[in-house]
Amino acid sequence: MTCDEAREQLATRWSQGLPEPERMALDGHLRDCSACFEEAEVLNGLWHDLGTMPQEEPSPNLRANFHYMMEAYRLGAESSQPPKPKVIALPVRATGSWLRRHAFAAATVAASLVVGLGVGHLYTSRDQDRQSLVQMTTEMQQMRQLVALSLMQQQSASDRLRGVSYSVQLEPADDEVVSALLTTLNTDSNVNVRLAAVDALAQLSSRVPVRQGLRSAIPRQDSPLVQIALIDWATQNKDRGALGSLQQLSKQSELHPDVRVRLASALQRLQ
Amino acid sequence: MASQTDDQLMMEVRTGAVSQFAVLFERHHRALFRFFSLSAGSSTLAEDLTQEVFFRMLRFRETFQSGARFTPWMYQIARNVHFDHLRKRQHEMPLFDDREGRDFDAADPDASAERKLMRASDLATLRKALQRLPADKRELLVLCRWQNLTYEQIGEILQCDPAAVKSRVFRTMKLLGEIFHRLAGRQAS
Repeated sequence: MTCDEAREQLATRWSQGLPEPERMALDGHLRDCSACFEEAEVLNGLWHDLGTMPQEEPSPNLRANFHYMMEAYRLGAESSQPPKPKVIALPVRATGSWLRRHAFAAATVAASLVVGLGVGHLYTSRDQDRQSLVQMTTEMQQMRQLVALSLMQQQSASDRLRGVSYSVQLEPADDEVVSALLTTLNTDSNVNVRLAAVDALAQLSSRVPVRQGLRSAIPRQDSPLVQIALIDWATQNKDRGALGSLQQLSKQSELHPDVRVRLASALQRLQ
Repeated sequence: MASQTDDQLMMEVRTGAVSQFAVLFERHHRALFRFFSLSAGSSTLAEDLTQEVFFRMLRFRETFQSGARFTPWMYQIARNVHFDHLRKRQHEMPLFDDREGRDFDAADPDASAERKLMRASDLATLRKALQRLPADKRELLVLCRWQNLTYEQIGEILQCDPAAVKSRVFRTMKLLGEIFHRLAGRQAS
């Protein structure tokens, strides 16, 4: 047996075991070849240790999400009609975990669907599949939107933050999402969530209502961080339409010194 | 139902009996989770990727051809899911391994405290070494060591000859050994 053959046999022995004649031949080679013997000793030990590494169990969420996906898929398959205009009744700020759990489940399903759709685009070319793809895309968009809106209503700031981040992935985000983001920007109690809303809205600021919403939010903010984020948005976008709001902000007596400096610079650049 | 093979069940799913898919989920979700858990380095991510594999299998069930074998087909999809994930994450920071340190629980209950600690430390180093393998090599090792797949099945998944699989497994083990000893040496010094 050559050294190369011995290596192949070692790999076979690790995974599947060797019949007696081959095992004896391998052992014979290892007795005669010290290099292969040393190598085998080390790698056999490593192979054994790999097998003793603790194996993890998935959480119950995996099964729950699977069944949620099956249900969503069944409902999708049953619906052959084009999706109707959606009316989403936003829940009152949820206090229990049910909504959150389902929002996350839906988020998982939605994420899976998006990736699946991408692959589907590669895999399919027939008209029927294209129609199915269009329908799935629409359903996906609706589902993602529902998830984003639901998350933005949660009690937990991290959930709301997630909802805002999720809304960024909506293409195109519809008016309802824009409205929810503007509400978040103007009313959310958490600065990080409001900052995330500025970032999300900034990506949509080619739209007139978004620009108007951002402008009118400028004098309403009390957090220096959010004020600076909005000033930066206006400056970077050379949005002269924001001048009025910026001037209004500059009249506030208790502005943070850093905000005042940034504001002065912005006003100078935009005027 | 329990006597039906995976291949038969998947054919039924393909022809419309979608509820049979739940049986396949029960049979394979743990193995897939472990595949991702070891390949991707995070149990949270592993659950997401596992979920995605089941979604893709359902969505693209028509690609399961009569006479095909379910397990290689499933792992081919799993590899694509993993590949897509890696491609998306290639410019991001490496994922935090949310199991770091858990190997301390894995020691032999009869061993002394000192030996337990050494053993746990070795396993933690081994896990790190595994994570430092290139993704394709780590994936090969996971398929081979933990998924109870034969070299023939792995060859089918990777679309190469079983002999080539053996050779790659050996080379990967050698590389793993080198990384492990480098890490262990660094810890000892």
